[in-house]
Amino acid sequence: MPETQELTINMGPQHPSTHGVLRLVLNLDGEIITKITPDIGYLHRGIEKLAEDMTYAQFLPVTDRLDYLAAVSNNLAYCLAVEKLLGLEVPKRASYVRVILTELSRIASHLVWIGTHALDIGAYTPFLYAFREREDILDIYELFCGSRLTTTCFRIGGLPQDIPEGFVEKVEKFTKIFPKKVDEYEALLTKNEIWLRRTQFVGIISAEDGINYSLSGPSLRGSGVKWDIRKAEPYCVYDELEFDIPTGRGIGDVYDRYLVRMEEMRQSCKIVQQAIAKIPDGDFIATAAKFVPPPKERVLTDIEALIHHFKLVVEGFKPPAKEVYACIEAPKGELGFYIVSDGSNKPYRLKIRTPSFANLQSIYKMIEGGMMVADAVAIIGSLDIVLGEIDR
Amino acid sequence: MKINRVISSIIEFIRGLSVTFWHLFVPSVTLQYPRQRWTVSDRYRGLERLAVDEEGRERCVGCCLCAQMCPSNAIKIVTGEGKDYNKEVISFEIDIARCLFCGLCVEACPKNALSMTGEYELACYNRAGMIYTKEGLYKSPDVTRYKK
Ligand code: SF4
Ligand code: SF4
Repeated sequence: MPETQELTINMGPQHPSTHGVLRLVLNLDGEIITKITPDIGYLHRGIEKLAEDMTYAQFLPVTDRLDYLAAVSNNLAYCLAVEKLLGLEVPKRASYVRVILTELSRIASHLVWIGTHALDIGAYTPFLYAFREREDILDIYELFCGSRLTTTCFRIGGLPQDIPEGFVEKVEKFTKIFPKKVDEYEALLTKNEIWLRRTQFVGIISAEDGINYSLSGPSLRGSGVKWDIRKAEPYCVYDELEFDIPTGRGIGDVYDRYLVRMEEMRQSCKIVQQAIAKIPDGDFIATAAKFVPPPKERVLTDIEALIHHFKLVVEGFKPPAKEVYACIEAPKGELGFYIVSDGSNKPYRLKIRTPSFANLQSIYKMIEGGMMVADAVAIIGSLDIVLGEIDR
Repeated sequence: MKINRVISSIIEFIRGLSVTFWHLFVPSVTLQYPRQRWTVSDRYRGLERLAVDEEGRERCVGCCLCAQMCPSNAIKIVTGEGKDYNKEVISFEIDIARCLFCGLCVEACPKNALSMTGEYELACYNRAGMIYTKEGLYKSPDVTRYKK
């Protein structure tokens, strides 16, 4: 009998299936993983520290760079947190448009996920199809705010501009064709024998463990926990819209997380359809001279408005000294901003609770039970992590 | 049980292939860049530009609000005293290698002097080419277009 010993190898940080710069230290017994140690920090940019030296309005573009696949969701979570700090009421019209754009960002993020996840496991075609649909969503973003990836889509108090001409038609056109496209992806994957064998009963995490490891979002719902912040603590106008929370078959494996996200894309499409039909008339940004700069036409003609504008740009606003936490259901889970204000024009401390960071730790649990190296790839894919968010 | 699984896997295999097969007849969505170009939306946030007013004077008054607002300190403005006790903008530089193209500077400008164009092909061979001075910002940038 030849003697065997454990082997320690590096996976990443430059590895296509770690979705960025994640380094995993694997202890292997043959091909079976005995221990996994994620090593993060390769993409650290000090975003939380940066916030302490920026006014509240200035920090907004930086939030795009957290989860860069769903920049709109980050913008929304930050704006909601600051609005909560200021006690600012956002007009209905703005809230509806916010819901439409964030749900589209959920679809776009899930499309990148299905593309890369399938690619990791060895299916190339869904990648091409998913990116084709994602392009349509990016076109909608470009139409609305002028940028495709780093959107800086909202402003504190509402939207930067009203929705442009052709926006409604374009979104409607997309929601009409999109459910058929999801059927297409499912035809390629859902019952495919190779896909089933690679994903079923791989990376199992129970509902209880999921909660204990503070898993959130689709990864938690895959384990059968019906927890969604959009339902539990509705923000924006989610309480006026109808949608279901999918939970998969309740095993908590990679396949369940796949099913949940596929169904979520359909549900998001439904939400967008409802919201686009209901957009009310009215202002697109709140009127609050102390916090929101006055409209540009007023600035050009009115000295009072000009003074307010100068003051808000040079100094920013000064929120009351208190602490707030606001969270949303981002595509990857619970995304929250915790702001400590000391009454000055800059945050005293800003902590970002990003879903990918919390979700990644459950990999310890998922890898238990004799998973192989190839399964690790499937598990990382099913967690849908983005390193921009983990390292911040 | 096993035979059922074999049959279903063959059926699913054919179903998947039929999806890809029908895609052979769907028109291609690929844009043959750089031979084909897409038109950007009106709100596209590309390279910044400074504007002149109806009489050809520079609209920018050198108030530095744009530089103050910029999250990445990409704008550098030097002002001095010009004719008739007027403030004069001596130099105005945007370092687009630092710029996030967030558009906050445009919103901050109280004179509508700064705007963003649909120009997105901004690559160049050296760092100095990334710094746009007043001259560059008052005219449309020279862009090397692909020629066949
Ligand atoms: S677009 Fe944003 S980053 Fe670029 S110069 Fe303007 S404010 Fe600065
Ligand atoms: S804000 Fe406008 S007017 Fe003021 S310095 Fe900038 S470009 Fe010039």
